Amino acid sequence: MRIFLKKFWRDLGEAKGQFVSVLIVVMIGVMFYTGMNSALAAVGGAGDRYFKEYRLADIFSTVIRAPEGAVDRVAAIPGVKRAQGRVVQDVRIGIGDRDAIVRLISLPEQRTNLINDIRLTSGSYFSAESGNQCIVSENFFKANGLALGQTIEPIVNGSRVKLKVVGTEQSPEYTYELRDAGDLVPDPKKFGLVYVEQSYLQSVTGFSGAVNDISVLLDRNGDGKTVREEMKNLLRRYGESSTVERKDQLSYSLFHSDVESLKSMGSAFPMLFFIASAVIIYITMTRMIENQRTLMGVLKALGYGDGQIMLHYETYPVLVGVLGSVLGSLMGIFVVGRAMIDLYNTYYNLPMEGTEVRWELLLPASLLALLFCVAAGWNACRKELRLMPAESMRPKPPAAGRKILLENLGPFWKRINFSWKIILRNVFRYKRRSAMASVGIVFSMVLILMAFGFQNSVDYLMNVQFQKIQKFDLKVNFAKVQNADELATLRSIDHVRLVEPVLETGMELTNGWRKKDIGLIALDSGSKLYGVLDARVGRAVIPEEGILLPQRLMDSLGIRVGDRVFLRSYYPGKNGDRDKKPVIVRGSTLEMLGQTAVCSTDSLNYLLGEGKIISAAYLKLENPGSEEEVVRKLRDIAGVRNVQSKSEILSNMEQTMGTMTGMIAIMILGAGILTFAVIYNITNINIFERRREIATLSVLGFTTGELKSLIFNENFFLGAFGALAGILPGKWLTQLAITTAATDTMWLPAVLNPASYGIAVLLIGAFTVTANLLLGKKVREIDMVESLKSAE
Amino acid sequence: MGEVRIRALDGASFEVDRGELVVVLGPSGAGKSTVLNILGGMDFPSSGEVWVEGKNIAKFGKNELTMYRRRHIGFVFQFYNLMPNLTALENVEIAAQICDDPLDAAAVLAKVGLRERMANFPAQLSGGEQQRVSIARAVAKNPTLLLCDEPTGALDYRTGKSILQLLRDVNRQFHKTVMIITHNSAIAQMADKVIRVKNGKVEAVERNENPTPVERIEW
Repeated sequence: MRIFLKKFWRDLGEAKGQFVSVLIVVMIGVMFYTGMNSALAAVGGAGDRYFKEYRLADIFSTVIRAPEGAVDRVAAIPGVKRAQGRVVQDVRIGIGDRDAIVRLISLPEQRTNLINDIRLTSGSYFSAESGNQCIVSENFFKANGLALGQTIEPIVNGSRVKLKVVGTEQSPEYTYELRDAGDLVPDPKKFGLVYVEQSYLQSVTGFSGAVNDISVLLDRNGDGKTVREEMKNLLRRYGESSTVERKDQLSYSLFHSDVESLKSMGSAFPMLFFIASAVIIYITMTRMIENQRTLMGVLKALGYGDGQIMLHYETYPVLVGVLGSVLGSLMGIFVVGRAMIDLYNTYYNLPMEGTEVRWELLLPASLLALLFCVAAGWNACRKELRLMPAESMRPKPPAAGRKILLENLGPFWKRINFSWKIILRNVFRYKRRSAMASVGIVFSMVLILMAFGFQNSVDYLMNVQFQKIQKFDLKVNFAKVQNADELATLRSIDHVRLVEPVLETGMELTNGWRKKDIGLIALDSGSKLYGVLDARVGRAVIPEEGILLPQRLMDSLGIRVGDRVFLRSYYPGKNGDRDKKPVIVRGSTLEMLGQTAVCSTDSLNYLLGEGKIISAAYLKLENPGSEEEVVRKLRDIAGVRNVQSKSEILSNMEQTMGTMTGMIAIMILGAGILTFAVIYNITNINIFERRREIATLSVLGFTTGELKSLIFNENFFLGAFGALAGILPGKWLTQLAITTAATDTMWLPAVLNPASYGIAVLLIGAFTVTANLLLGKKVREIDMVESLKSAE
Repeated sequence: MGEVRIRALDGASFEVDRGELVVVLGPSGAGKSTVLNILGGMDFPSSGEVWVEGKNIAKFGKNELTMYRRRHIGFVFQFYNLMPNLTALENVEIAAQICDDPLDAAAVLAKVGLRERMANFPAQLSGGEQQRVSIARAVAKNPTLLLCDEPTGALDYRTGKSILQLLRDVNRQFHKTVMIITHNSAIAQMADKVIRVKNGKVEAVERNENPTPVERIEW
């Protein structure tokens, strides 16, 4: 057997390129599978651990004012483990020459077993010496260039309160630092969290002995739904305005839907990648071993048993499988996984630990890769070993000559030259072989298209969202709901061309027994600044009465156009059962971010009984240059909570989309490497199998250039064929992958730009050219004397 | 002009005249293959000169050798080496198409007796027929020199003889210089000139004034 090992190492030395390229395919398959999946698992796992470790509440309740004693009564509800009261208040703060909003949140003096605990990232918890200390959320701290020990001065009830910054934190309650669901993306410059010692905050806010926020941890048997109902009943008298379970808590639900969409996006791709690698490994291995046919016959003739020969030829697949899996796993965890975790870390406030070896991902991937290698080797060996040595020592019978269908096209066939005749006959005569070679390229095409598809879809979403939906330049959010007449003030500002009323509110939608909390946005029927789209991305008309619902929401709740549903607002005093209002669903809309119902401002009075009310306004300016001036004037208006400019929303949005863009970049890179390895492998084997043919033509006087064109044109043909054949499955799988990636809060339309097909084909072409250039040397090196030998 | 002069291996030389049928004879390992490789433009001699049509091909670079093979050499392989994917006619055409002054492929195939088999693929032809295609391929290039490497080596006695007859006919009808490299001494009888190679040396160059007609050769 030692001699076999020697032979093995020498064979290996002679075909390093081949070995490396097969190895790379195995590596890439394992690498992407383990890397992407372990990163996704890390994000989800880190999230769950984080929420648990810092005791994120199970139920969050907001009241107007409740005595501290009410907290104890909540704690006494069966199923409640503990309850904690807080004072939470949003206040203005001036930092430098800018205005921002901070949410003041009270924390007890002693930090023991807190519900909604914070994770200190620098500094320390409150010390006993004074009450006016605060801990600031890290993002806000950094975005505003604060320093520890510095004093910040939020305006509480009209007067400045001096607070010394003693620490920074991250909190599970605000994985996304959003003020409310109306903000699409965090803006750490303009909104942050400031934690203050409880009794101090109570005294400065006028909440001595009282709280306005109650969080609850359930015990093991506690049922969220029942406890929530009980809490609502109990707290109604204190002006309960919202009580939500953890799953509906803004930050938590956003995080989960984000992880979900990453997961569904990230799972199809590595899987497909892995399958592609497996198929390619199988094809190459089989062909490589088949090429050793005569040698196997010789070994058999010498008296070696099938088992021994098989064992020898399995050395290669096993080595490729083991080495590929090990290297792939290592790179998967430490390169791809690490890169993706870093990427996620820049977007989520998660204490994500470093890389972790996840055997539950590594083992199946590695074993499967190995299995594919060994199975390919076994299958190829078995086929050749079944022959008697005398037969297998003889060269393979010459390929039967047959005319191909194409030859019936007389004029065409006469026109093309011999190299193309050889190529076309080769391709069509060895259908199986060509098909297998193309399969690799088809897979590559699918992977590249899928990656591009995600990119195009995200771009499309951004484009639709900001060109067709949000057509305003500025959005003004008011601190309180007010009458639509107040907009006159905004209209009088110079450079403002158009002002439109907006009301954004939460609603409970009921259809029969099915209920769902949704957002409702009320707009002018003829709104020019906010486009409501129908399912075909055309303009939907906002009905005078009745509502429009997102198609996906209608599907999930079984609602059809023309159905009657019930809406109930959350407004205190108007959220009883008798305030449920029947409305007719007038049509469906296309909503990509969030799920919001649309109605006209005119029908608001019917729904809420408050007349025409607004919570915000959309503004269109006469020219973009005046934005700064207008924003300044708007901020001075009493009752304006904040002003969002579209360009700011856009840039924040793009930042949030960053995780996706990063992931897409990794996908494109992976697809590229795989494509290259595939083409290199195919070409390499082609050259090996045809070296006798090449040597003969060389003796006949063909130049190296002519020989190369013969071999490489076949590659181009297969490449072109594979690329074209990959278009439809690519398109189809892209659509499947993207549409299944939809979550409650985000829906990506599956879009593949025509240009993407072009680029994908060009990429395949470029990889083919590169592989050909690299392998040109091999063609040159073929010894003409090969042609004189008897065929093997 | 017309002389082919070789200083093969270790100093031995020989000359071949245009239109001659020459047999290079020797046991395996004698250096026949080296003669073949060098004359065929597939290898360089380490020293010495090889004059073909007034040019010393020993001094040729790779590209010049390719052109030399293309224009001057017609090669007949022991194992025919036909492209399995091309018909008999196409196998001839593929060689002819790269030459400056090729003969008509179909006409040459008809001459070698394959008029009816032109549309067949190698796998549909017998060994002898395949060798005929191979010869037709070499002839159609209209080369200076036809180099035949053990042309009967893979064939039975009868077919072998018919191939030798064909080579003799080609030599006469197309006025081609033909060199047959073989270890079969019986074949030497048909030659105009016999070059005996042994132990890396040209042992003897014999002129045969009365070559035996192929049909009378036996082995």
